[in-house]
Amino acid sequence: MKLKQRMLRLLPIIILLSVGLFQNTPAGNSLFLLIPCITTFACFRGEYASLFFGIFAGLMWDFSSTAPDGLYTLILAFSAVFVSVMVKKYFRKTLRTSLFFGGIGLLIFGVVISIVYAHSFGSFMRVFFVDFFFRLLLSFATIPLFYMMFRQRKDIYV
Amino acid sequence: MMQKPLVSIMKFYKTTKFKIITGILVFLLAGVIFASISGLGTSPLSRVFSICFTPLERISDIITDGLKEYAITFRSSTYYREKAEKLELDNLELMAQLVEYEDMKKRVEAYEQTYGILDENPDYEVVYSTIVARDTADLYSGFTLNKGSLDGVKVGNPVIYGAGNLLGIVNKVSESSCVVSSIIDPGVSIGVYEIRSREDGYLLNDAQSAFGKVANFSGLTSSTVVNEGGIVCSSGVGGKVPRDLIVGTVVSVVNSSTDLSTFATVKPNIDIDNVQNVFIITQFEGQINE
Repeated sequence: MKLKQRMLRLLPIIILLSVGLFQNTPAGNSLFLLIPCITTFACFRGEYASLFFGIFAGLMWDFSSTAPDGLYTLILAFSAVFVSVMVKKYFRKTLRTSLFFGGIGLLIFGVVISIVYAHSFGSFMRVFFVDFFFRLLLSFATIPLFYMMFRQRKDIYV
Repeated sequence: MMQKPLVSIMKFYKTTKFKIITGILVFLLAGVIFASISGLGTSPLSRVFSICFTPLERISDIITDGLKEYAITFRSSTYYREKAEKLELDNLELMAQLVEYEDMKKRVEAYEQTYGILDENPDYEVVYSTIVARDTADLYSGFTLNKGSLDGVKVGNPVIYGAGNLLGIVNKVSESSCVVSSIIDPGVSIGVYEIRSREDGYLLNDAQSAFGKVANFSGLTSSTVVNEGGIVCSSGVGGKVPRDLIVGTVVSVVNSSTDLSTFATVKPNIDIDNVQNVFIITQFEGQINE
């Protein structure tokens, strides 16, 4: 394997690191970038790669979270493996698939977290639509970007 | 034997070569004499020579200058490259110094703001820290600091800003970082009191108050005299947080819809989402470690 190809194989890790750091940075923490990043990556890779990628991403998220340690690691690792298996068995590796899984991932996350925040006040709609919806939408819009970065290119992945 | 050289010399005197050489020498001598007599210091020959030679010298000078320029440029590139590298290094050093200066400046500002309370409370042991991350999914303004257990930070340590404004409580600690739950987080509950009425209570936050970026001062009676504008401070009860750290200002007093109690909504004096540098109180008198 050529050095260039080896270096380019590190690209997803660099992208993940950058995305994780950006999401956790006080200035850039309005988006949920790690979810589309993980689901899009998992669309193109095997279960193990997706699992480790998910764990890595989750650990980064857990680093800055007040939630119990390992929660995001578990969620992201599971999501990554799930998407990877599903795509391998039932889907084609296209942008539409990435958008589908990224969208589903963001939607489930948004719904769950809104329920967590709003369970005792019945203000789910307010939490979901006021606090999360626009941010989820913006995060969804980044999927094509991740698709372009993660899709398998023959010149890189021989 | 002696006649032969003399004859040969005499023969030389008669040669054209000798006459030319002598003529030239005389010409030169005449020039020297003329120069000494005229007071100009130069002989006609040298002037003629200089008239002829000056343009050549000029050309030579130009060429030499050109070559010299070339030589200098050639040397200069190395020189300038070295100089540029040196300046770049100097610049990097200055930038590092500037960063250090800015950091020190912020640190000094933070210490200046907190100096009063640290001066009044010599029992406080504090760690200066910077916010390095925030959780995008946390609506309660939690944040991550760059100090951890290696710096003596423990779970439950209070985090302050400025002149003793309580920001939150350390929730998770790793070796080099810690995560702080802010005072509007429902997971944070500390003893508080209002400084004018001296009424005691505790913070009991909920999601609704957190959305409004306020904390709930619960445990007040329905006949409470706490009113709008009152300053709420930590009471020190429970030993988690030292007494008299400022929690915020009362913005409203509300009767609970579920029981006979009354609570006050307290707005923190500091915009927690925009704070950058804080102090973690790692030790204080009366502290009870869990």
